[in-house]
Amino acid sequence: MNQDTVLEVKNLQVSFYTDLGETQAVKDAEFTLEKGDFFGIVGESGSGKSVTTKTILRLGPKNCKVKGGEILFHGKDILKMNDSELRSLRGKEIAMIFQDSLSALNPVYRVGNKMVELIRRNNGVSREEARRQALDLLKAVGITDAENSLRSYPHELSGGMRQRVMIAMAMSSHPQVLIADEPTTALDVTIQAQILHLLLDLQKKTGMSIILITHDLGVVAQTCRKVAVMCGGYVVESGTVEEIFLEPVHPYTKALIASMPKVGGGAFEQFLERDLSEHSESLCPFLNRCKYAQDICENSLPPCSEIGPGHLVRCHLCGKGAGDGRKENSNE
Amino acid sequence: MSEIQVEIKNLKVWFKQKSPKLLSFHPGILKAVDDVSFTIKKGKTFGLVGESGSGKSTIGKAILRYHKPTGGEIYFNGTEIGNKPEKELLPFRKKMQSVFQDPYSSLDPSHTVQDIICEPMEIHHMYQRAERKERARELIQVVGLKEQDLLKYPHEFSGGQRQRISIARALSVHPEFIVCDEPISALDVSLQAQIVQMLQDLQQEYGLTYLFISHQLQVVQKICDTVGVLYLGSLMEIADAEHLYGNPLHPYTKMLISSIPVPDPRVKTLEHIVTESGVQSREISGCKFHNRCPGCMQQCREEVPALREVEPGHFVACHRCGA
Repeated sequence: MNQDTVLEVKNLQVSFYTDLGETQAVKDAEFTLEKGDFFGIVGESGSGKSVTTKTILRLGPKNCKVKGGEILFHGKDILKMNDSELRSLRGKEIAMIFQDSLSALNPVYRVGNKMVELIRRNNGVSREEARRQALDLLKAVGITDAENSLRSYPHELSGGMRQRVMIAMAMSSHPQVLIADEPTTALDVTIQAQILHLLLDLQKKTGMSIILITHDLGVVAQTCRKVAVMCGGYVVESGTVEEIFLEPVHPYTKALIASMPKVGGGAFEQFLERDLSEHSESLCPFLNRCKYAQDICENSLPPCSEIGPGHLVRCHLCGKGAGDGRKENSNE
Repeated sequence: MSEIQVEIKNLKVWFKQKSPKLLSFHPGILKAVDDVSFTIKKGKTFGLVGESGSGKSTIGKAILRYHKPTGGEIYFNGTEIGNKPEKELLPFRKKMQSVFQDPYSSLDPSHTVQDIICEPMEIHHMYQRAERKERARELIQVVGLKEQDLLKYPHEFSGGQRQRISIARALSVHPEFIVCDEPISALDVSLQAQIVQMLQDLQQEYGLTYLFISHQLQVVQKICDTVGVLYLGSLMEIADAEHLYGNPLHPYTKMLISSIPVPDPRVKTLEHIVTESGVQSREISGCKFHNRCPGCMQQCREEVPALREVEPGHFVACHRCGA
């Protein structure tokens, strides 16, 4: 195993059990996070991106069960950890920030109260010291009026401010991995740009690894170095941001990029044929909407193949030897 | 020169607040929309963009008369409706419909799709019962769903499908004008493209006029003919969509456009982000944007800039532009 590997998700399968039976949310997720990575996970709603990352912290609801796979944090399987090991992992080694900052913060506690509690628990310092640290953290995330913010209740702060508070709280224990689940989706573009800028800045300063979950490809292109594209519970393509955006190989990635509205660009017309009719679980998740689908696609699940160093694709037509969908250095 | 469908003149929508915020010149009054004027031509799409709190939805709701304007006039097909009493509004309501952002809360969960689509027709006493059902069957197909979906309930549909139901409901009474309030913001990109395409097709087919409200500038550019940029209740810039994106003049418009993350890893836009010092504030003198503006002058702090035409069809409210 590589020295720099922080987190490794291998062949992860997660299911939800309801009265109606089993729903496989994550069928096969696989990616590796190295130290200092800015890793993006993109996909539509229902693609399993949030479930995957919540499973990393074992935060799934009761009816959610991990059916298989491994999540290795520095070589240790998180899925096999007991409660006390998990407690020392959550928030300390791996921290998480969520999309909806209003419901993620406790509405009846002042921001300062919550932060001091958290810092004392994680770092074991006195109340005064914790308060001082909280102030520093808020300043570090760009809150100018930190004293006042500490005294505020969550609803008194704006969305951007709350998200900054969330980031400050996550940073308080100097985590090695920060998972950001759609951190800017609810924010205005101008605020979004500031928050992303902040995340990039913090990452450079602390050297932590960040997993950014989003459905906005623009956000990914601007921040991430590596990307995994998820579709129907599978990681269908993963690689560096340049590979994914400039030389996408999987038809789903291509379609996703083509359907992005761009300022100045004309292509908005070309989009996916959305067809939600159920198909067999063990076939390509994109089969129904793929315009290149061939006979082979209807018979078996495509394997994951490496078409370049670190560039993985799950498609019958793009794998090694298939040749036909494979395009290297042809986009430029 | 095409006909004008909707014209608003000096529209003001103020809300009373319980507790005045900090040092306010008008304690207890929130000026959500303050002196906004624009026209929407028949068969065209007017886009309203701005950050949250800019009053874009309030304008849409004021035109539909869900809010009573505090001041100013709203003309619909030449008739003033802004100050009409509630009773006289029904015939106008039939001609204007709305599609909202959240397809989960805008459809009654206890009604079937058929009931939902038929309800506006019942309210406006259109058709006989059987004809209404027939029309619901037609409409559900127009928006790309199946006839058997009529007897289902909203929870059985995905977000994109619900938005289609909302559109079918809006179309049921043969409207001329539809306010689309962030109709695609809650949807995945692959679905966004579809819904936008459908809205455009419907516009072609029925000659509809749209007021399209969104915070996503990329989307607005694609479907609007004219775009107005709102900031804290005032219009900062109005121009043809192409003009606005090709040659934005107001610093706020420029800021909005430069904040959009470009889906191309070779163009790093985030590195040039200016960390702003100011925050949105309604109660500042002069230009409302001056505390966030990189090119603020003395004049900006004192004098409110008027919306002036700097090029044909391109209006800007900025002291520095086109002087």
